[in-house]
Amino acid sequence: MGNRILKIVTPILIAVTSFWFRHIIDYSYILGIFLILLCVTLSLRKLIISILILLAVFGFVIGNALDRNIFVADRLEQDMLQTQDRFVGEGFGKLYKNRVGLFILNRISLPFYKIEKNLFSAIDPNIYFFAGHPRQNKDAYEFEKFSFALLPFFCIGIYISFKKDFRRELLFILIVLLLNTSFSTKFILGPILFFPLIVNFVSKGIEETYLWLKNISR
Amino acid sequence: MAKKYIALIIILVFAAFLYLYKINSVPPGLNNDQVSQAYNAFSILKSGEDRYGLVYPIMFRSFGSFILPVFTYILAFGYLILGVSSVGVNIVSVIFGLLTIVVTYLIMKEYDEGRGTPQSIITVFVFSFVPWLLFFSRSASEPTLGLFLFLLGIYFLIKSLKVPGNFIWGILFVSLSTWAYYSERILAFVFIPLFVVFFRKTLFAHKKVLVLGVIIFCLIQVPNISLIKTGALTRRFDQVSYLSYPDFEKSGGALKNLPFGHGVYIAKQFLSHYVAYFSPRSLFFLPDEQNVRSMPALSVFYDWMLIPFFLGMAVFIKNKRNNFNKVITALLFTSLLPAALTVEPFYTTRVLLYLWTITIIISFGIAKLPKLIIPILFLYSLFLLYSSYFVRFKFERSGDFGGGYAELFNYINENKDKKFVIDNTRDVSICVRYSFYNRLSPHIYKQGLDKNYLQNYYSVENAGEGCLLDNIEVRPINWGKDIAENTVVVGDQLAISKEQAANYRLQSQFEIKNSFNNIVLSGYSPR
Repeated sequence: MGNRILKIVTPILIAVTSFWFRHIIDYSYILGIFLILLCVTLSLRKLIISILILLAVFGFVIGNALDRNIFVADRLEQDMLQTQDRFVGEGFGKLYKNRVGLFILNRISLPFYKIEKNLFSAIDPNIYFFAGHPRQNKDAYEFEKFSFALLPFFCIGIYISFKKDFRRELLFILIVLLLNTSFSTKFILGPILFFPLIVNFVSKGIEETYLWLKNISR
Repeated sequence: MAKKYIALIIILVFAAFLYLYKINSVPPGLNNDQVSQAYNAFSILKSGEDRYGLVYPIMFRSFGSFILPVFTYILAFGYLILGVSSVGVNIVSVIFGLLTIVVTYLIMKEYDEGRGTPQSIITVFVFSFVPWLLFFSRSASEPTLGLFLFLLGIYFLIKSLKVPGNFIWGILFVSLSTWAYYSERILAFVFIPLFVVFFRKTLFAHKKVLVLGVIIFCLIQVPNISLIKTGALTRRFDQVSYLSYPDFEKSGGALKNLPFGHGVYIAKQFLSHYVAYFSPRSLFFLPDEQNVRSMPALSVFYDWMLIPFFLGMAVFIKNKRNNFNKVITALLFTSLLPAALTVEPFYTTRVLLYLWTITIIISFGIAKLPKLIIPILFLYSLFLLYSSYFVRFKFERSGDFGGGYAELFNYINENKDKKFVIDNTRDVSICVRYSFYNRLSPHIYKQGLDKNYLQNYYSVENAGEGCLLDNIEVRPINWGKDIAENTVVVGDQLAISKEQAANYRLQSQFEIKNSFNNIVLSGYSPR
């Protein structure tokens, strides 16, 4: 019973005391409540409920978070494509300068690059604990989300997840990754779908540390 | 067993082909540090002195900082076999890159022993085409030598857990690596004590070997004593670290108002820089920000390696705790210390050993992938590598590797009756580049330099290097004095604009453009 209470209270405390939660509440109280619920269901390993709440959160924010420029090149990207076109054309010759090659480079490479950019921008631990420092994303709206003092617990939580079987959570993580690729890095709340995951890893780290200290004191 | 050796030979032949393919044109020249080492090596070969006139220096002065000596001395020896050329310089580096793959195989053999797994072959296969090793092997770089020597030391240290005598060789090579690159200077002092602590039961049972190893390590460090008072020993670290109080004053922000704010600032900087190297965004997506250390649009690993990275981490964490795992774990976490203490957000050359351990982990993950998918991923990787490095890099980064200067020096050599004043406000390497290009005698080079450099070799801080050689003078343009008959002023667009040329009634003599058709250098003389 004590363990269950710990699994409920710890993620709630971590979530509501984070800098990120203040931004979430400013945006919407309802979103804040959904995310707290999600943190708890994830901590209790209720996978199906967690996925349903996640989809609700996704539906709630997608209007503002959607990256509408996945298929649209800005000026810098147009320059990049022209440079690529010229030099790759010279380098590959007829292997590139044909219908298939041109289609891949002009129609597929840009959206593929942008989806990758959205994906990798979210799986950077520095954006959660150091506001992106030292490799800030110039395109993104960066702010400190969690105190860097929680970083050791986050690392312990990741280690414990690798050590024990986390195949159930893996499905949840894959869904979050997939949904997040459609989010713009400029969204005011950042990669909000990762909020419960980070809270979950930090809670696991705190729980493990607490259990370890308890064992030592015996 | 024979199959393993055949596979190893095929992989090494493939790696040698990849590392030597188009070596005469990619990279498209030598960057500032490389040309400095190249000419110093030439000077050592010809005269036993570096380009400033110091006899067999223990650290080579280079543009306001110091380069560790081993690579330069090896390069001087390499010139005897390969001849003096920028290709020869790169080939010496390629040799150490290939030797790194061989040492990796030897280390992974220790992992395979008793398991009967072919992991060593899978691992060296990954190393043969991983972007970071290919890039730095082809790129006349002392960090590759530092990595090779340190890994050779690691191999013998692992062997010493079974045959104690190998401890001496391990310490010898690790200690030598501290004279190859700066990261190893810090790493050796952290890793060796950690190794001794981890394996104290085995090593303390052979105290004589342990003591001899410590003595050898200390003896190899003795030349550092002569540098302690000069400031040269720590100059590079002082230039790049964030530990100083002035740096805290500049960047501390709100922490300046807190008690122990400086300590908190250092802790936060250290953690943020340390964690940045673990970020998948840095490893698999973003290239290093410095053009001389990265390929266009390709990070240190291929993007698809994200999946085997996580698979490999799971395998590695779940593996039994054995000697091999302890060593790799120690390397994984200590190899980031040098880079994490410096301001740059992601400095690849300082973390080659860390990238080596990550590649090992990725290879564990690749071993778990379905076999059918591996050839597809391999071909995709070769496509990315070819388009980024062998095609785009040559064109887009030529300016960072002395692009335009070969044409300039050709023009100067064809017009020996004219005097040239070359502006060096934004490029400190022109004198060295000219001297290396023309294989200028070191005796003539030294005569053209400010004597202050030799007199205060380890303490002069000036990065700029002007000179008077043949018919050229390298320094900022003096608009009052330099506009004279038979004199050509040379510079980039910021040094000599078209408006300035019009104001001083100058006539264009030549324009040198890059692959983007932008002018990189232009020469003007009076009408």
